[in-house]
Amino acid sequence: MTRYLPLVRAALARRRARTVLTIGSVLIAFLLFALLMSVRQAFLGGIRAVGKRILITANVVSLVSPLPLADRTIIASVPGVRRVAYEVWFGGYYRRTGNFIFALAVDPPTFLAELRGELGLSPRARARWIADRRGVLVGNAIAQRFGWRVGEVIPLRSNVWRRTNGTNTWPVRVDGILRPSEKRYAQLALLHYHYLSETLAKNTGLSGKVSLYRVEIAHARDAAAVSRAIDARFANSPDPTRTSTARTFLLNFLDQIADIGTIVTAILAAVFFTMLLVTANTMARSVRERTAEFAVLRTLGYGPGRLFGLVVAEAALLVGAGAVLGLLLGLGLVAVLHGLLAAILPGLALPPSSFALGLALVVLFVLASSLVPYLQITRLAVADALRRE
Amino acid sequence: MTETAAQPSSEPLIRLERVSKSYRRGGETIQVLDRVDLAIPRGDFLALMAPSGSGKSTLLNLLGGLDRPDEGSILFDGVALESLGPRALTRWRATHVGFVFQLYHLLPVLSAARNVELPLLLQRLGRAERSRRVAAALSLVGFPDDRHTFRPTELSGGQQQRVAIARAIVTNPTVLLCDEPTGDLDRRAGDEILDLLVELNRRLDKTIVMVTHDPHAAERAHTLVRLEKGLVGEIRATSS
Ligand SMILES: Nc1ncnc2c1ncn2[C@@H]1O[C@H](COP(=O)(O)OP(=O)(O)OP(=O)(O)O)[C@@H](O)[C@H]1O
Ligand SMILES: [Mg+2]
Repeated sequence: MTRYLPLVRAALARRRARTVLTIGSVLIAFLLFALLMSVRQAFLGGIRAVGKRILITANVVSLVSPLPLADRTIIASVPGVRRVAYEVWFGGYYRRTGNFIFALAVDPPTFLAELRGELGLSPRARARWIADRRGVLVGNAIAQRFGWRVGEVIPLRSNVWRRTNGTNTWPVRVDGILRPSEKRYAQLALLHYHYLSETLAKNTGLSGKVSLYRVEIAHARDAAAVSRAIDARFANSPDPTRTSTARTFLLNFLDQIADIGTIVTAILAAVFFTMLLVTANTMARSVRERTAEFAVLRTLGYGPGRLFGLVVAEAALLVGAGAVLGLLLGLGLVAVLHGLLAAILPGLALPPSSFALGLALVVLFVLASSLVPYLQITRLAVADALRRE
Repeated sequence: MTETAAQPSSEPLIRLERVSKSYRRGGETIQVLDRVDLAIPRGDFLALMAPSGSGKSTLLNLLGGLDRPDEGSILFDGVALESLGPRALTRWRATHVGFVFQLYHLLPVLSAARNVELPLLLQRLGRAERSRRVAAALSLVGFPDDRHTFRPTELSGGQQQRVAIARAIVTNPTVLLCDEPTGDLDRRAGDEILDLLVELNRRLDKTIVMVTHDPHAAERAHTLVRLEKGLVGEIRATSS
């Protein structure tokens, strides 16, 4: 089949500018595809890995409204509940507010018990931190970003809380570095809840309160029932709760920012539809312009099937070249953005499944853009086409 | 059976039996060919002369299997073309027919050599064998060796027609169908092309059917056939 290659190449070289523009539009479509799939992965990729036996109990009003710490024992008494951890959103940053740090104030033993191996924490660091009320654990991405070392004391600041001494700076000692397998934990910093609550200014309204509870249950299949049972306990309290699985919670949380999945799909659909029109138009035009040439090839003994094969090869080269270039460029760009946006969008990477999806899209577009040429070729009246010259 | 022009002794290569072809335009029907009978012996060089619009190209297209008659039969070496399906007809054309057109119809994006190679791509031949045959065909038609990589637009009309003829004969077809091959050339270049066709007919024994307006060109053929009002009129042997 390679013997037809010069013919296919010559056909594409016929209108260089149009070929380049078409490849360019395919390239841009696939570049966007790579970027958006990476963004989607960054937002939703981690969620699949979220433990199925973790429920999140939060204030029904909103995430910023806290829940009483006293709820903890009530939740723990609900049948099916194994362990109850809690956390407070610290809103951390280092030096400048731009150096945002995803910091949580937690109850160390229960928090670590729930996440167990996922954090990649050495037993010694774990013990050191549990014993050190002013200690902090930081993900390796943060440690790397700011050059922090174990033993160093860091002035961690909060954009939410204020201390009794009027400042918003909490000096914390780095007790250990998390080396998690999952990227989102690499951006995490953990403080002691008690350090925060004891040093907090009295008028903050947080005393004796937490942002949310992380509830570990015995069996994943009981998630719905246990969630209902927990919420039922607080239905008539001053702070009613809403409990959901950690996965649902995360998805809802992201939904409040934006429905990433739908947005990505919608943009890609629009981009690819436009691209399909461009390629299909290019192919249809190019075949129409060459009607006489195809007629000549018919006189030389080329059948309609073979001519169609040549056109499909042309379309495959156009779309394939654009797709490969677009994906390569996308990979490069994602790598660069990954470095730049590490703090905001950890886990920005093109998931391997995108390549299979990309290939499927290529095949789809080649076939779709060969549709009109197929009709043009099979309906070609050779004698008339030659006369028309 | 109708009377045909073939000698009873040798079976003609091509035989047209009561071939009719009409076109519809709007409501009316134009009868272009009306029960044409014609026999073309193997090895003949036949010139077909007729006024413009009298169906010469139509007849040539029927002979080459590019179009099908409404009625009647075209027998080629004993095979009735109307009995062949589309695929078989395409294959038959690839082996037996070489077309030459007034406007050369070379692919503008391909070099001279690549144009000649086109019909060979349909055969199972290695690259080396293809180049060998391309070179042989181009040298046979007297195409200059140093122009093989030239595009059609970089060649004179006569050179382009030589390339087109090389492309038509490179597969060694049984018959050459030429539709006004000198129609777009000046007298000198036209004469050279005619010399070439005569040579191909004499030396390689190619059967040639050539449509022409030009009496001077028609003189070079063995047989002259006049087509009038959709019927074959006069048939006579030319002086050459
Ligand atoms: N597809 C078609 N539809 C309608 N009419 C057609 C079609 N093809 C050919 N004709 C008509 O058939 C007649 C014969 O056409 P043809 O091309 O065979 O003539 P010709 O003898 O080759 O003419 P010329 O010397 O000008 O090339 C013309 O009147 C032409 O208009
Ligand atoms: Mg004609």
